[in-house]
Amino acid sequence: MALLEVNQVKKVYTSRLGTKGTEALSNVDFSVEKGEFVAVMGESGSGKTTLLNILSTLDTPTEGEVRLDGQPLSAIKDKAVSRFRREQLGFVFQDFNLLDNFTLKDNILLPLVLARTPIEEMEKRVGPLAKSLGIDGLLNKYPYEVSGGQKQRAAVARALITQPKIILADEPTGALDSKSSQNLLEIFSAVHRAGQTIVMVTHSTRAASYSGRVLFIRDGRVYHEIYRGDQTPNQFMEKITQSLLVSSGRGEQDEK
Amino acid sequence: MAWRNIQSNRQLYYPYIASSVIAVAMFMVMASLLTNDFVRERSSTLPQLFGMGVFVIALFSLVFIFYANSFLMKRRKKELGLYSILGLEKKHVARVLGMETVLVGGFSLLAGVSIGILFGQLSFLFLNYLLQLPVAMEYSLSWGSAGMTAVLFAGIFFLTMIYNIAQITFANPIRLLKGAREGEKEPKSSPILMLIGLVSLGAGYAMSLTIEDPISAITQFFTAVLLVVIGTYLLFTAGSVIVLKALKKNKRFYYQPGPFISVSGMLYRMKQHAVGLANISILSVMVIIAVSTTVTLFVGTEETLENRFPEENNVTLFAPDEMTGEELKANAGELYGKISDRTADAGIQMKNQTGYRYVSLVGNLEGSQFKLREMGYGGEMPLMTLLIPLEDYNQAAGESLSLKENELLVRAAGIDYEPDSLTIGGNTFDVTELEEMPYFMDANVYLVDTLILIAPDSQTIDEIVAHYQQQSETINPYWKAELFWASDATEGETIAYADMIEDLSDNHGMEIGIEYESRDASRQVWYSINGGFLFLGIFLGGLFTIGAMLITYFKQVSEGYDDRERVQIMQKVGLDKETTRQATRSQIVWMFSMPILTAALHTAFAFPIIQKMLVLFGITSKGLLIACTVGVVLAFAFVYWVIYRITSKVYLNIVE
Repeated sequence: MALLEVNQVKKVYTSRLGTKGTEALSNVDFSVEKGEFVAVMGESGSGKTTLLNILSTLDTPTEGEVRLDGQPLSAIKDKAVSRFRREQLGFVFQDFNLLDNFTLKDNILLPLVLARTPIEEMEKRVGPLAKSLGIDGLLNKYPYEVSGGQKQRAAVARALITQPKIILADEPTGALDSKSSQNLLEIFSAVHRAGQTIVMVTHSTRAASYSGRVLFIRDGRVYHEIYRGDQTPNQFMEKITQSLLVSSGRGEQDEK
Repeated sequence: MAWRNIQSNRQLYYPYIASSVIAVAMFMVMASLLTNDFVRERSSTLPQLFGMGVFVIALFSLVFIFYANSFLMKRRKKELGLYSILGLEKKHVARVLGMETVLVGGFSLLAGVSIGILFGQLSFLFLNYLLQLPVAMEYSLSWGSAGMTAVLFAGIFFLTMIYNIAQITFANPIRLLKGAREGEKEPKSSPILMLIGLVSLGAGYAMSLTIEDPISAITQFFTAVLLVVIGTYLLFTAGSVIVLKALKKNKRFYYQPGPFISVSGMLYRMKQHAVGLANISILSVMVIIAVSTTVTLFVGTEETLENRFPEENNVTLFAPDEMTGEELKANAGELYGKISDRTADAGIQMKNQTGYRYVSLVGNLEGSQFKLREMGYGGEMPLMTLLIPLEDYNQAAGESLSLKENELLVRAAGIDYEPDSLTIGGNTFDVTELEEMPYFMDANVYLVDTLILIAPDSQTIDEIVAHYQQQSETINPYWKAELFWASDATEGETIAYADMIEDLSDNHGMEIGIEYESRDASRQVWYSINGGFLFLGIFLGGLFTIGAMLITYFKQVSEGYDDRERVQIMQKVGLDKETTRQATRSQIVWMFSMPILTAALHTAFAFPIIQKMLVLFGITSKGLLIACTVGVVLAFAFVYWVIYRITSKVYLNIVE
């Protein structure tokens, strides 16, 4: 059984006057197996962010259903939703969303603190994780004292520390320079190799080329998907670019 | 361009302008009180106290406007940075900022002064109506106070402009662009500042606790207030950071959802928090003290009257220099006869007649030696010494004590008189302590340290007087006498009776000087004076409460917008609503309870000095002041609680 199942999800935003709705997602249908690294690609306004919001329980679908590990997200009660988000999901955002008033360490520990984890357990987890992400020397710094790439690595650590079932990443390389991007994507690959399931929304072919499968989304539906198989990232990137050119009839600007 | 900037930044500018207008209005009202007839004429200490009040408000306005300005500038750094990048020279940016300051400052001044005048007039009308004092208070207006306000605030706005321009000039555009997003650095903890704060606060407290007499209470009050204000600011800024950091170090406590969010949140903005909190604390203390003292004065008017006028009718007789005690006695008897004749003619009976003769000397004690004081002021506080003949004491107190020729009875207030003997007027006497005295002649009625000496007879006192008259050219001790009596005149008749005796005391045709005072005739005067104080107290209390209210509101709203982003991030990572509420609530509770607790503590420590100062106004009972202070603190706490409820609701709404 797939870890994440998205069944015919539809999302309509009704305007405040209620006259005419805007269809953000018309019919999205896909599934993610455990241990997969999936990239979702699409232009601005294609519904990527809406989809991610629905996956992360920040928004609810108008129709259809999302199941994580067989459990429908709609069945989670309002009160338990924060807890669910904390324990089952890990988030990486485009603009990092680190809190300026916490050190990197406290930022990473935030989900654990909210879950009332004993202090010894927290200390035990944060050490090795920070080391594997290369930020172990920066734990006592504040977010405004470190670079963007380091911030994003701290954000990844925050997502991983709860050992979530799935990591949802929203344009994680969007605010990074190419070197930091590459560094981060390698971290994602490594995390993926260690067995972590990742769903990443992006419009960068470079970022997508690190994934195992790419879903293309446009006008609120998934219209194409390609598998990487055993191609190298560069070959796969070529293929992704071609797919984009073929299917849309125009090139996609990306930041190589 | 400056105008367009203000327009486009109105979300930021409106609160800034509002707070400037309020600061100007507050200062304007306070400054105009300086020229108020009541303040100028009632008592010599009042203008001094109000001068101090004006100074504190000026300081407060400076801090307040700078605080609001720094908040504004932080938000605008990005925009200003963009100008430089787009090629606007720093000179031009500075000119734009200057124009903005002139516009905002000019508007704030105009609006503030008008609102201040309007508020002053209206509140005076309202309070006059509410209190129904015998003499209505008038709000005075002068160009002087408006000018003072204009000069002060023009100065403050000019300073903010210099500060803003300096910020732009010395920063590079890239940093400016990031300014709004850049987190405030974690404040440094400074144990030295905290220590200075503690010492300053302790010194202020100690001054209040150790002050012995009312006169030095007045002179040292300002110093004590200044020390406590400095201590409060330092402790809030340095102390709070140190405490919060200590809390953070305690991992078991810190790494829990509630403390984790609230401690770090408070630490994050402690620099601004601290100043705001200290402002609120000081305003609260001012409200409490202004209102509680004036309420005490008003409620205690009867007590003042009783202290000031032991009986319904009081006459003081002043003898010429060379008159002896016996001659004064004869004169007093004659006067008394005239008074009782007049009283009987009016169909009124005299009751509780009593009185005594005395000589007062001002000097100092050196061991058991009494030294007359040549000049009035300076140096150590003088000792008031009263010499009363035993005959008069026995009569007034209903006793029948006897003394040998070289014996004195001593009653001391404010000092302990230990030696067994006392040298005064060239003779040495054996002394015995006197345990009790009738209240009207007792020592605690006087404001300064007092020594009452009961001499065997009036000739002994005559000798002492003669000795000092010979010895000193500047000071001539002389005999005085007090007469007290009540009457069976009804309430309506007392004033007429008082007028009659007043007339008699003006035309007595005797050698001695006479001063007559009626308690009932004075009552009205005292109530109108103390009512005036009450009026000012309530007026100032209201003014400061409004100030405190606006600061808290402004603070909570502006911080609410800041915190919203943080809370949203945390909610994305899995913070539930319940914990958000708990954490923000505990943060707010701390922010609110700290100033009021500090204010209560300050008030408690200020109690002795205030009590001493009230003695000057004739309030000697501690119970009354305690009751009034506690009442005012409770009432203020209630008002404060209401403010807290409203602002915390607004805050939570913004954050969620």
